Amino acid sequence: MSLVLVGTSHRLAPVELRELVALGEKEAADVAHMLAAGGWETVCLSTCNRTELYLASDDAEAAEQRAAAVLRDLPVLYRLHDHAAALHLFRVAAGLDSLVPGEGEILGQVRKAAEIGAPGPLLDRLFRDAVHAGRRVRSQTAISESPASISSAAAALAQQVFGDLAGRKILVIGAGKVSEQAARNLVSRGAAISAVANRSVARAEELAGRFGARAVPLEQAQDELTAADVVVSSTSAGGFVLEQEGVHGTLGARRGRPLFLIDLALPRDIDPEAAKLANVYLYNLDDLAKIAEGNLAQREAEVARCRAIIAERTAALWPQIARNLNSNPG
Amino acid sequence: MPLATVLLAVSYAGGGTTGDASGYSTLFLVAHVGLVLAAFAGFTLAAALSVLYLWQERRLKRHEAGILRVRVPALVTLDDLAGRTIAFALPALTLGIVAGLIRLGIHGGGFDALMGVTILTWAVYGVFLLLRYEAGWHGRKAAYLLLAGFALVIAVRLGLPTVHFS
Repeated sequence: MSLVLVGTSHRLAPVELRELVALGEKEAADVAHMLAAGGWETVCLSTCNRTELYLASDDAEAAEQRAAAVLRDLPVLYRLHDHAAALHLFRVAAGLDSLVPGEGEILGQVRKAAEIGAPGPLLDRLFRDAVHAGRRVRSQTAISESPASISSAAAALAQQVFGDLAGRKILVIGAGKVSEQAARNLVSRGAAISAVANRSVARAEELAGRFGARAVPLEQAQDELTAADVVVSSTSAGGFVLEQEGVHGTLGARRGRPLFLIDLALPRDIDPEAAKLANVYLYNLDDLAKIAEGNLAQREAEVARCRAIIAERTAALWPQIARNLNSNPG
Repeated sequence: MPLATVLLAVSYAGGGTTGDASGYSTLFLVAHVGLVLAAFAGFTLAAALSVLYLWQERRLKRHEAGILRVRVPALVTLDDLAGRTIAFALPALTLGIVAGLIRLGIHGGGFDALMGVTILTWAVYGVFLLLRYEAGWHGRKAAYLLLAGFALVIAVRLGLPTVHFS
């Protein structure tokens, strides 16, 4: 019996090719069970950055051809066998093959892929070991400690101020993609969007509707400040949307409650003088980029350590998995 | 448990009761010392939390690049914990002072400078709680006030052997 991996990822395939073979959760499960009907253990791992089919089969060549056909025989497919395939999966689970090294989402996606797929004893063991190794890398290195995107850095900084974000209210100023992405990151950590202020109230309503928030005209953004804990602002306004005097005016009613301002606009939306106010923390694009870049550099330094751990884990576990391969001749 | 240990140690150190009014006097001495020590432990903890708050606040205000690498508890958590600590420590100090004054009444003795500083310390932490709950004092100003209170705690502690026991 052999372990076969056929797939493609962001490393080889641009988004136009990846989307040709991208599979939703249900589709991935269907593909795995369809291939399993041929007598092969199959797991299909499909995320934004990769679509990979793992098969355990006594006929490696046939399994490889069938998997490649499912992935439309794209010219950017990689095909790995046995130890190389296992090592690849371990690296993927550890986040070493991710767009942002060390991102944590992939570990859950690997676990889920095995759950919804059609693994037999071999792939079940392999995926469990991969998840275990991924966890180990995260606990033994600093690779996943620091957020490396502007949105996640902003959310992590908000947590440095408030701790748990559950129950914290976000005011979103500007209903564009940039503010939505940053707000989503905060929402994923427990905060709730209370109001969306935008020049076009129709667009504000559209975004607010998706988050169960209120839509208000841009001119009323100031009035929403008192209730907000975090403000995410990204408009195309030429001048400041929030002036220092306006922010200062709300401090009395806030009774010492901190205010975290995230200014993602260029030119800036929030008067930088507001940062001088007590209990007000203002971060603009450059501040966040500096923090995110620093974290990315730190992550890359950790990658070498992670690779060593993964290589060591694969070397230790592979002989046991290989024994299973040999003892399951079909 | 630590409070019980302290009280036990103080009662042993005091050599137990010596009869008549001094029995009550020792009891109030033990209560006085135990409660004041417990309060001081609380003030020390609050001061440590305030120092951590001020350090973290400074890093956030300065947008330090490494802020997410060295994690400390969130500002709100530190501020809240410091406030709660004082909310427990101040009543302990109040009762400790009352026990001391009662003992002074039984045992006799004069009012010394250290008692004055202790009452000033009590007033500073009292003002802290008042400002916090009435005027919403949180953050840096509150942390500085707690450190000012702690400076008085240190003064009391340093003056103890020379002024209070002499």
